Amino acid sequence: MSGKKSKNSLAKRSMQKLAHNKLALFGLFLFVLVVLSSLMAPLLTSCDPHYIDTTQRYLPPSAEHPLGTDQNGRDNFARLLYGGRISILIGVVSSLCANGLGVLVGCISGYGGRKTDRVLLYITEIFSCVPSTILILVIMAFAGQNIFVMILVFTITGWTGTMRMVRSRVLSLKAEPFVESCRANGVSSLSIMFSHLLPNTLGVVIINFTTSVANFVLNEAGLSFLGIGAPKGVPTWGNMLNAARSLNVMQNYPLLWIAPGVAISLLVLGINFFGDGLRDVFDVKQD
Amino acid sequence: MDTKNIILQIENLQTQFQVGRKTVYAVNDVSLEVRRGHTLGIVGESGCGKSVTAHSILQLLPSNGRIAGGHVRFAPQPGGQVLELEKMSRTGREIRAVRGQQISMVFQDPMSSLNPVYTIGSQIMENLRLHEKISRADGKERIIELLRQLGIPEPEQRYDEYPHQFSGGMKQRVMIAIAMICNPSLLIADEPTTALDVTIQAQILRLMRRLRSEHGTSIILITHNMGIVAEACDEVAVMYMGRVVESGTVQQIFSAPRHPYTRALLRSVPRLDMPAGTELASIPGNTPDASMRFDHCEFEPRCACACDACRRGFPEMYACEPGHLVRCFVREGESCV
Repeated sequence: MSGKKSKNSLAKRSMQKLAHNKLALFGLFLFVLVVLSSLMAPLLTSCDPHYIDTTQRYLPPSAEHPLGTDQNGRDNFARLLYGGRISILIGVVSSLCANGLGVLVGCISGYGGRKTDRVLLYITEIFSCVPSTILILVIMAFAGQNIFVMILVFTITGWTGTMRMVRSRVLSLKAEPFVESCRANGVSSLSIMFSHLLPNTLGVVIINFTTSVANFVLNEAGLSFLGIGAPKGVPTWGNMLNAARSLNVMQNYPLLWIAPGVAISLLVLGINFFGDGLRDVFDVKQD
Repeated sequence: MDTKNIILQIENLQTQFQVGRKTVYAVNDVSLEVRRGHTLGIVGESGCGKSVTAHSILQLLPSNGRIAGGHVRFAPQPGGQVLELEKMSRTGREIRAVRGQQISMVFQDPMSSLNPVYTIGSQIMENLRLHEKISRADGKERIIELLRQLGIPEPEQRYDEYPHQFSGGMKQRVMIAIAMICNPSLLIADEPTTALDVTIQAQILRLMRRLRSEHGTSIILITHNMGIVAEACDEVAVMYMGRVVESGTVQQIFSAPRHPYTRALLRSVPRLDMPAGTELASIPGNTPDASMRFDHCEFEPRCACACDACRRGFPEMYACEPGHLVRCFVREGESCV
């Protein structure tokens, strides 16, 4: 291998691989488009998503209201953009928390001794049996409807998959000679776990992260649609769908449910395409 | 302990593994001394406990293994303090300070002994900065200098490369660099050349010899290859079933082997002056299961000169000449094959 060619670092090579994957790039584009437009909501619309004007109910699309207004006379476009913020926030933060917790417990469980592993595995099993819908109802009965409760519940019910995946990766990596050579060099167990084994599992973790963002966005929409998700007034895509539940809206004002529905689909589709691309990039055997 | 000449002393070391309900007696009674600035070779068949002995020194045993008895005394400086390694907690700070800094290890399989996600530079840097307070810039300079010494071409560029961009021999050099970067006083090489082809083997052995003369590092070289012992070692310990059966200088062992096992081992090495078509001598039978306990000499069932005494008890180590120890009932002057 010549000096110049081998300068390509792993990251660079991965970027090139990603750049060749059209579908992944399209996914990334969709994701960025949706995220950016909701982040830049104040620039894209001058309407307040909370402003209720009962004289302006169910207006058709116009220059002032590009997607019309809803049953309370609020601007549908503004609600879509601002609602995206909350939905994506819930998706990303829940996914971060759930995967973070899963990675942490998975690493400890995989690298720790047999007893630690068994105890942590039992705990994981308990958590993976908790039905999220019922848990969310219970917690909301005590804490009230609140997006933090949703994030908490998604975290509690969502970390077990990552944990299992990371654990099994760490279990097989633990037997690699480089771990022994780390130990022989006096590297502490914590440092072996988190700075040597963890980076080797990041490929699967990143993929899991993207797919769970998509899942949590869908979950948020589902729960809010049922009326047990984000609090009523907060614009989220799920709440918008929920508000559009009546037959009247369904039949006569399809924009009210098509808009958030399409937004959710685009985001989830984008994330899934991108996640698939990442999986190919991190698959070393695919060189 | 004579800390002036001896850097490491192992006394009656016993290491056992718990496998299910069975106890495997991997190391039964090993006593060794490593002389300062010398290379000690440990030879024996697979499963004779040579690797376990080496791993016991730094307490790098898997969780089902434990040191059941004996002492491991390490004197990093001549006349300095003596560390009792077997008494340290196996994950404690004390032993971690010894590992990698004062005693380093090089392993058999260089292909997977490096973490695939880090550049080799950062892996050497990790060991350096773990044990010494040194800035990244100074550290990098020192690492590149060492890589150059170890015969890695264009070390400045190779510093930022990943393990998959290195060949096997180069990886083993990097492993040696990781082991040597803190200037350890003892290097344990556990079959460092087994996974490499013969020309690379010779290069690595030459390299280790040079390191020893330039840095004064003492070396324990574990191998099953008598040729490597003759080439690279000053002293030899021959192990069988978790015991040292014969030890002495390379000269003593190769020119006047005493133990029937050592003789058999030496006979089974192919030689250039052998007539063509000669069948290579082999030792009859297999190494017994290490979970078996013997009440007499372990080599007796395979030994060509076993006598009644051998079936009654264990022979003691005795010095047949100064520095040449043998564990056998067959004494000097007695006839044996």
